[in-house]
Amino acid sequence: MMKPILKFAEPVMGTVASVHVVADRVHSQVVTAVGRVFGELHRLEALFSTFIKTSEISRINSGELSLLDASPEVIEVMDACTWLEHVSDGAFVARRPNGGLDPAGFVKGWAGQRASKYLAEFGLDNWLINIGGDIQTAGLNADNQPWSVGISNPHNSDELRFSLDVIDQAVATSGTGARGLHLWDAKGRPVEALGSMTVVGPELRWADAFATVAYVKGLDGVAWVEQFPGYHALAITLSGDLIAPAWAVSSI
Amino acid sequence: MTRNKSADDQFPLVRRLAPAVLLASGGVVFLALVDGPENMIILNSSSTTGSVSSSSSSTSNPTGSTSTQELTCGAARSTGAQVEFKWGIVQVEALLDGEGELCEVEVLQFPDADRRSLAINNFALPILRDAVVVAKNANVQAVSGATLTSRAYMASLQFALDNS
Amino acid sequence: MTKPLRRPIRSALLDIDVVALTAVATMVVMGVWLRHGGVDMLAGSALDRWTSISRLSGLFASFTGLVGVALSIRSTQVERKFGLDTMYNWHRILGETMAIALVVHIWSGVMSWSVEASVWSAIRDLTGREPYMAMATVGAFFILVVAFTSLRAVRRRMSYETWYFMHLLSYAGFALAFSHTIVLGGDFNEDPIARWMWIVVHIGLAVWLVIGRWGRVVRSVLKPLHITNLESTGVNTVVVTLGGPALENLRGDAGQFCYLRPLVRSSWWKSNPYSMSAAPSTDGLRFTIKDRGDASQTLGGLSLGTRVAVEGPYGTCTPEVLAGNKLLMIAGGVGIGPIRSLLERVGPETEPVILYRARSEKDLVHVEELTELAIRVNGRVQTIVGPTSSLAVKDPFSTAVLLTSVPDLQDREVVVAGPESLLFAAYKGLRAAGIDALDIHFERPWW
Repeated sequence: MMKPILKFAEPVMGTVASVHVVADRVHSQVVTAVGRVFGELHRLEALFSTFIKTSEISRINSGELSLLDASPEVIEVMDACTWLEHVSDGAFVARRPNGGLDPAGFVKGWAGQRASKYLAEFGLDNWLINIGGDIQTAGLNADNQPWSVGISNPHNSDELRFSLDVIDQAVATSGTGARGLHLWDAKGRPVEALGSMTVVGPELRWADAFATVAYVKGLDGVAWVEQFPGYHALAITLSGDLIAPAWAVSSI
Repeated sequence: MTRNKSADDQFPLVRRLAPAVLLASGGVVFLALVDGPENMIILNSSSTTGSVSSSSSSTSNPTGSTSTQELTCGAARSTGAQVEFKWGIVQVEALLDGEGELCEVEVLQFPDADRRSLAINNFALPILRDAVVVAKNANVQAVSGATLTSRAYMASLQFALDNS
Repeated sequence: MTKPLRRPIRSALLDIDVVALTAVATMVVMGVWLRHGGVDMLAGSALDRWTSISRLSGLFASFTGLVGVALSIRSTQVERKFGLDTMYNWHRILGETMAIALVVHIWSGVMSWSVEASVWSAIRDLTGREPYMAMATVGAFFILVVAFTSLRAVRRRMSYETWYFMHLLSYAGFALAFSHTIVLGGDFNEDPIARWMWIVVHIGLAVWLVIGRWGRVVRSVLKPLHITNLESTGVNTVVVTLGGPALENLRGDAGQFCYLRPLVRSSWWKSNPYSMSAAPSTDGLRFTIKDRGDASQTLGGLSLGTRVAVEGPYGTCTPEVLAGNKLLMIAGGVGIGPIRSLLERVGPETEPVILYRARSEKDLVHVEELTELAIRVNGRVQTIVGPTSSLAVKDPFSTAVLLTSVPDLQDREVVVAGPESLLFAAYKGLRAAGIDALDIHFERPWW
């Protein structure tokens, strides 16, 4: 039995964020909650964007602000980035060569997950939030089925290469999509370039970051992600092959 | 010692090495057959290639498939390739509606429940459907992708996909 | 000028060292299991219980296997302390124990895997789907084949070399099984201390094996002795003397044996043990060889000057173990070699009585030499010849018969050398006559 679904979309963080909420009827709670979500995304963009001169990150990079005096969110993000740099053997980069901070690789997923808390706080159980392709889901979709997330074909964005049915999971994809681009890992070794890397897991902030890291690591990235309980990676090679850990297929 | 002296005849060393060498080669052959490179599988992007069994050779790509005029899902069916990998064989069937559009994917064959996949199911893991499907045909609520380079392009595409 | 060879070294090992080493090794193995909750898991769910049993039996199989391999290195220190015969008997006991532990390990592993899935699926997981399990499967198969072919009944049906070459597969078995213990074994994959200990133990043993065991073979081949004398004596019996400058590197004494590897095309790959039939000296090592099978035949059929790689001498039944009491020496078959050589090295106070058992007159060798040597030290030689059924007495080594031939039996130390049946018969009769077990010297049958 199909339930009503409410869709909201708004440009933010240089992309488009959309929120789908499954609810029995349209009521002010839903509108308020989604409003809070977008509000939070705009607030975090103002805090972290390197394109906004007055953001805390910009002020830290220009020396106006000490990292020690930054807001708790900035410190939380930089802590997480530092951990990611370590756990990825340097594949994750949140600092520029000149020492400046650029946590953009982490902020989008983290902000999406953080903002989605308002949906839960307003008692909403079934929703999906999509920040430029980084997706967090909760509960079921309007058909009372798992949310179905398509993964686009890196070579032809009109196509979906595969889809994932997920419950309470986040999905994030990383990749340039450019053919023939060569990548090097932290140690300067060439990695087999992939079309894209998708990571599925309970929390969007980690799924997004892990996708970034795993994409840089190439084929090894699939196994690298498996070390984190609950997180799994699926890669699409430049030739269009889908590479997944065996479980993904055996659980079809 | 109840040993057969004729074994000594011409190639005593070869003769006596033979059982050990045979066993060792047996081990090597076993390893070559059983031990795959990684716990990974590769599904070919075109379902007609790869390790395809002779009985199933059609494609899961709905484009160009013949169909009846009925609009019910499953009016036409297209069986995908059997894809064999370390954990077993997977085969899917695409169900098309009367207009030849993909409406459902059924899994015909998948590996027996084993310890690993049971454990995975306990984590409520995602379900993967592999097929090159045209976006507008796919029944998805959101798209995660990597080709979105220009912001304007990204915005329009996502609007289109989300609201399709 | 004939000089005896330098005497074998004395082992620095003490009984307490061996006890301590065994205790520490056992504690480490058990400790690894306990440290990772082995006991608690036994009381847990079916999965935990089987996993715990599988871990313990796996550790135990590895432990017994490693010690078994260590014994086969034939370390001089250990050999001088226990003798090669005892070491190989322990090697056999440890090998059989390991095979049983391995079967328990495999069985409990399959049981634990099939708690959450079918047995068939568990078997497929454990023979290839899980990382490194295909290698472990092959390794376990090799080790079980080696254990099976070492059962006496099976071993008898094949030549020594066929068995030995298959036995070498156990090295491959250990190497193949190693990865799964590190990756899958709950005791090592998450505990860096235990893992590094495990890796160090394996690498250490491998290095010791290569240097100690194979290095010894290489040295023996690089510095071989050669045949300096060949003499036929008796029916199908040849006396071979080995000499050369490499003798200077050897230490040995009467009563010992050597592994001989004739460096000729037909038999460079065969290494077999032979007892020395004279006290080793600068004149050379003397072996009395009866035509028993292919290797003996080959050695007797060689020509003067042939190079022979020598490993050893081994064996602890040397004059050093004799306390200087009066002696009774019982010999049969191949045992005449060590008895004859020991006789060269005993004093007149021993007044030795030599009981020489043979199936027929033509099987007797060196009787004249024996008699000469015996008379020199106030002794005598008594032969007991004929098939057992034809003898006047039913059991030539019963207490009554022994006391008749040697009235002062109870005052004597005894050396026994010969085939298994003779050893058991003599040991039984001597013990029944009240001889202390410590006063009966012999090499345990293992060949």
